[in-house]
Amino acid sequence: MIYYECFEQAIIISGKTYPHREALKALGARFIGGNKTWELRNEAEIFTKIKTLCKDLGGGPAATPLFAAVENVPTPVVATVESQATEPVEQSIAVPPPPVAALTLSQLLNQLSGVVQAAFPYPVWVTGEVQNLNFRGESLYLSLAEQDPNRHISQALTVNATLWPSVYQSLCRQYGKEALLGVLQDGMQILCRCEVSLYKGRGAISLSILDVDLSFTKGKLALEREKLLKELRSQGLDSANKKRALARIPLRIGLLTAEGSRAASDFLHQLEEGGFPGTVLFLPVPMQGEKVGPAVTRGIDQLVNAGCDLLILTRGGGSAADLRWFDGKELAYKIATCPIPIVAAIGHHDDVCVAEEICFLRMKTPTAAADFVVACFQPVWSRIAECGEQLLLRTDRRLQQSEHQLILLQQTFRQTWQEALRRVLIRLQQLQRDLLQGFLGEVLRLDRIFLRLEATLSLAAFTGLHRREDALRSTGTILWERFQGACEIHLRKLDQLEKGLIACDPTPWCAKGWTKLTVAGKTLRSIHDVEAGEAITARLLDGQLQLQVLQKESR
Amino acid sequence: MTTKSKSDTPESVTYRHMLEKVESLLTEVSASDVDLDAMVGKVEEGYRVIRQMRERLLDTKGKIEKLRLEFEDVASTPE
Repeated sequence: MIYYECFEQAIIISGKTYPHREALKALGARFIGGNKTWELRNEAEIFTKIKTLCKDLGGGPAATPLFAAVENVPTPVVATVESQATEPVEQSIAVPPPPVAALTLSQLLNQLSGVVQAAFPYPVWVTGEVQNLNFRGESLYLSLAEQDPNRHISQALTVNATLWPSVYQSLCRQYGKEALLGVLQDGMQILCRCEVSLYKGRGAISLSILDVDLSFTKGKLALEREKLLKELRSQGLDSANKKRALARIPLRIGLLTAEGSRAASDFLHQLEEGGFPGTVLFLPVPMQGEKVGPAVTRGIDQLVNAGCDLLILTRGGGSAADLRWFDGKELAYKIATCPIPIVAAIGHHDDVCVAEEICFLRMKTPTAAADFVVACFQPVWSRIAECGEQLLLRTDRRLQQSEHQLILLQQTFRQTWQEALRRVLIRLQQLQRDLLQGFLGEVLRLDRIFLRLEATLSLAAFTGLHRREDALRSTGTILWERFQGACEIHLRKLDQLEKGLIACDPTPWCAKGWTKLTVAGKTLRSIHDVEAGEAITARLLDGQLQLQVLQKESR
Repeated sequence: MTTKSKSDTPESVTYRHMLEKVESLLTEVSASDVDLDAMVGKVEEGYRVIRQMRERLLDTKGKIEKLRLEFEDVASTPE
């Protein structure tokens, strides 16, 4: 069921409108997300169609007025959240009569939603500081805050705001995405046109942002920037770093930029191309967000302590709104009091941040900053080239002098060594003669010695030969004598043997008549060796006799 | 196998064997029961061997005498 309620300029539709949203859109209705109602122009034709729709679908006039009657519709004005949230509502909303029965919380919120809708039937301009900015899908959610300087930061007034996708895309087309997001950042003061509604889910006021005034934010930043510069000028700090003496040869460069950024690579590449002969101490620091100021301040201290001759503060690009991170007071004082020059190449925008204003030198790009560093060495290179030429000239002159001296020295040396050579030759000839004489004398002496030795040797040989000859002769004599002796011995021996044979020879005996008697082959030596009657054999010279013993007679 | 000395030349061995033969014959002849005929034969052989030995000895003496004379001729010839 859907319900309608008529106001002077608008008809508000509530209830279960979601299934009929297309029909409502066809009538030109606009959805109000805060209280989930639809708004239509209060025209007779539309009103008739609404009534017919309610009759067909069920429903009708709202039983409880959604909004109190509003006599005068306020025109869009610039107002703070606080002022819009308090005074107009109190003044314009008619207090309803006390309910007969207690309201449920949803009924109460429905009534409040109508009151808010009635109080702010048209968008209003609101200013506040962006906080808790985050994207969910294509919707942008944030809080608008107002900080009371006399209160703690946690006591700031805040209202939730939403930038719906259709509005966000429309604004991106109108201003450009970069410019829009440059303003819609945490901590930025913005002026935006919003629809005010009550978000019944939390019972809180909710703003739907319809437009953002970018020039407001920029102007605000410019004012703050100018205020800080004025403060620095009053102390003479705006030009303090500009007066720092640049090292004649800045060999040690400190680089402050984001890690892995295009700025770092461009700067280092350009230095290399330019033949920079020194050292670069690269200290990565964030170049966006609230941490920029503290990080760069610390980085400056670290690089100064590291003995750098020159600091380069640079970034590759970004929105103009990001320049505000370099407008911080702490960073400005750090740059102003830095004992060494700082070259800033933060952004090539028309707006110049405080850091760039007060630094030693402002360059548009990291590459230009690198060119400046390289250019610092130009006088040095020129001086080196000049010194080189002078050195060459002097060396050449010195070489010529040395060459002349060398020629003179060579002549003197030649004369000296020729004289020395002549003396040496004379001495050698003398030595040769002495040597020849000595050699001949020695040869004669050796010849005499050899002759003497030869004579001695001949004598010794002759003597030895005679001695051996005598010995040989004696040996021959001895040998002969011994041989004769041996022959005599043999002859005597033969004589003895012959005598022995003669003694044993029986032939002479037999010739004289002697005989030898045997009995049975045995020599008969005694009469007792034979018996009477036995036969015996008698051997004579010419034969033998067989005898018989007749009688034995002993003598 | 016995090793022969330098003096064991065929001639020397023969002479020595002859000497031993004679001595052996002499021993055999001196035995009491030797047959008379055998004794006569051995004596005759002994004489024969002694005669050969004496001839051998005299022959050798002549050769040596000849060598001695040659040696003395060589030694006494002046260089």
